[in-house]
Amino acid sequence: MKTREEKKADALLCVIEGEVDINTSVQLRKVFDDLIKRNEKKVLVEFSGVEYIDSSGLATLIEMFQRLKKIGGKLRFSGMSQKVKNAF
Amino acid sequence: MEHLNFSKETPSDLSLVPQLLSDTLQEIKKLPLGDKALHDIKLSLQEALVNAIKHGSRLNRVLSVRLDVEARQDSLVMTVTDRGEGFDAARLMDPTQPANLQRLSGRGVFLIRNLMDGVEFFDGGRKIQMIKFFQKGANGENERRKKG
Repeated sequence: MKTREEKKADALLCVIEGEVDINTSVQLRKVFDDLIKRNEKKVLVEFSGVEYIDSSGLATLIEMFQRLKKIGGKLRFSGMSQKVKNAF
Repeated sequence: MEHLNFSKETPSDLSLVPQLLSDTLQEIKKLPLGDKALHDIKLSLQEALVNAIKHGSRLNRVLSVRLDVEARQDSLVMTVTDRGEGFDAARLMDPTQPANLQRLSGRGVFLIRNLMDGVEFFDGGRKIQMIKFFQKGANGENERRKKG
């Protein structure tokens, strides 16, 4: 799994590529930890490069949603394939 | 029809799951299963193996987890067995209920039940059997659906 960030006018864009599973969700959680530390409150996660997500990946996203909600932030998703949507 | 019938046994170590999954999928790809079915099988098998190692064996490497894979005339049958204390599958939470939507765990079996054509538990929850019917239609989807 690879991630990269782009600062947009009204949000931080986080692009994820590869598989988000029990092996990579720890890495994704560290990326999210860093965003929280930097006080990024509006995060848009771009998913078009993700073809596979498991329950630990879903848990990582839900956790980030909860953390952002707690500080008045928002988490949004874009580009989800049908396979990934099916896991939600 | 490709003849496929094998068993694998692994120590309860999560770091061994990717290789076991990859080796197993290499074999399963020989069967008449479409892209979506292969994705569903990969995800379901991973969830079942992780559940067996984490919740069944409680990450005790000494306790092995067994995987049995069998291609029948019309379906693929995968069985994952652990040596843990078992659990009551009927008492698993429903992650689609509003109260459970934001819980961080408990989605593995729910995913398996939704992605496979049949799911059954045996031996007090120590054994999960997952069935996927082979591709029958031209649209790449399985025609027969039997939710577990």
